Amino acid sequence: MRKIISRMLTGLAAGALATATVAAMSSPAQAALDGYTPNGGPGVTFTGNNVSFTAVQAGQTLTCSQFDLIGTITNPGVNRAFGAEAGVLDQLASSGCWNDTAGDTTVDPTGVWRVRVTGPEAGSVSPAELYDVTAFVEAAGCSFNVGGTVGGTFNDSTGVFTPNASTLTITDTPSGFLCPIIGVDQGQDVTVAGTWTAPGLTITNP
Amino acid sequence: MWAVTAFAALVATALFAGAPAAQAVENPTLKVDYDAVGTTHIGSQVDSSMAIGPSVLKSVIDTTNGHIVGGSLAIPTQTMNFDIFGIPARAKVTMTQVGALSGAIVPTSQLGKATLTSTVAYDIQLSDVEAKVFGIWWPLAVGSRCHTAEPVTITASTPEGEFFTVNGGGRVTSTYTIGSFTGCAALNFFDIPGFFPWFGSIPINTLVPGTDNTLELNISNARAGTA
Repeated sequence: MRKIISRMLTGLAAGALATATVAAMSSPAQAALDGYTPNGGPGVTFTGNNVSFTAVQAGQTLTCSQFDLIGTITNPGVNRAFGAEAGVLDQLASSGCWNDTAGDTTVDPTGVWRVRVTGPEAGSVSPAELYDVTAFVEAAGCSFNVGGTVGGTFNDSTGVFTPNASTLTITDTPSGFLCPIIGVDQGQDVTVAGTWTAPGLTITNP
Repeated sequence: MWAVTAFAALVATALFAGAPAAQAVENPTLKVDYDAVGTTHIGSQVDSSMAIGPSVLKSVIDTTNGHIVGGSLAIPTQTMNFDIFGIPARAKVTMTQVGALSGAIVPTSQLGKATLTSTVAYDIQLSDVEAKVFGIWWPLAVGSRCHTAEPVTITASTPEGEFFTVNGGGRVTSTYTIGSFTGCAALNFFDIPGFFPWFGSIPINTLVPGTDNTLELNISNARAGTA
């Protein structure tokens, strides 16, 4: 009799566990709570490929032959919530920046940029952001600062971050006689194109 | 004491004499090239138009004040068709720039929109003047060095109500004066066999110089300059 009761309890417990597992796998809310884990590093380099910045309202695009973001993955292998920091990029290097009209220009990344995954992975692609983005721009004797967030996707099968959104704006009053003539002003939108490649960085959920 | 003072003065004089003059600090510049194409209308007795370009307007802009501090607008040699008192004529017109382009890009109250004023001078040379008589083009020997005695200064500006943008360019217009020519032989119609015009020989200076000449130029396709 005891064996029968024991088997029944064991069976019920197994059924409950299976139900819970299925529920957990099918619940987006549960998946969001599970977060993500960045793996690799801890050193990481996002090498820029044809990275360009466009001051939208002014219609001016600056393309840089080098725009690399170097730093460290924060606690690799440790799970964290979506939106929490994945890495710190504190060695920023740019060169060969060019504007079709102004010629040689400057886009100097400044401060410490950060990267994070903002949602669940689909296949090998995770939504991700570069945030705390700041840069100093100088073109045609007009200089200003840019700040905000660059949204995109990170494909950890290729290691490529591809921007697809930007909240970057010109954060201060542009300085220089030609600024109003070339049409740049504080508050204008700045978009980002190109890609960054970070080999060795992978994302798992959770 | 006197000797010491004199020696010090000599040393000071020598030092100042040997010191290089203070270097003038040049402002940073922006070089931008544009495509330029348009027409000019020569008034006076010519009353005819001629294409300007296509050419390249090369500009050097002082980024601290918008002044145009250098550059050029090379105008390809053109053949101009006109009438000499009703007789079809044509001449080769060669405009050679004298001095550098100058002017200014001035901001307006509208962001990204400016006005442009540019000044450039040309020596204008006429050659290969011909008249069409009896269906044949006859040369009218004007000489090999028939040109304006003084360079012709053309100041072209953005018309009222229009704008110039660094990226897009814009239209500029001008009314300018052509002064007297020098080194020109009179156009001698007596050279044409069987033709007995009532006006005989015509000096270039009775045909071309005048104040009612106009120019319109469309400037576009901005790109990093090579001036």
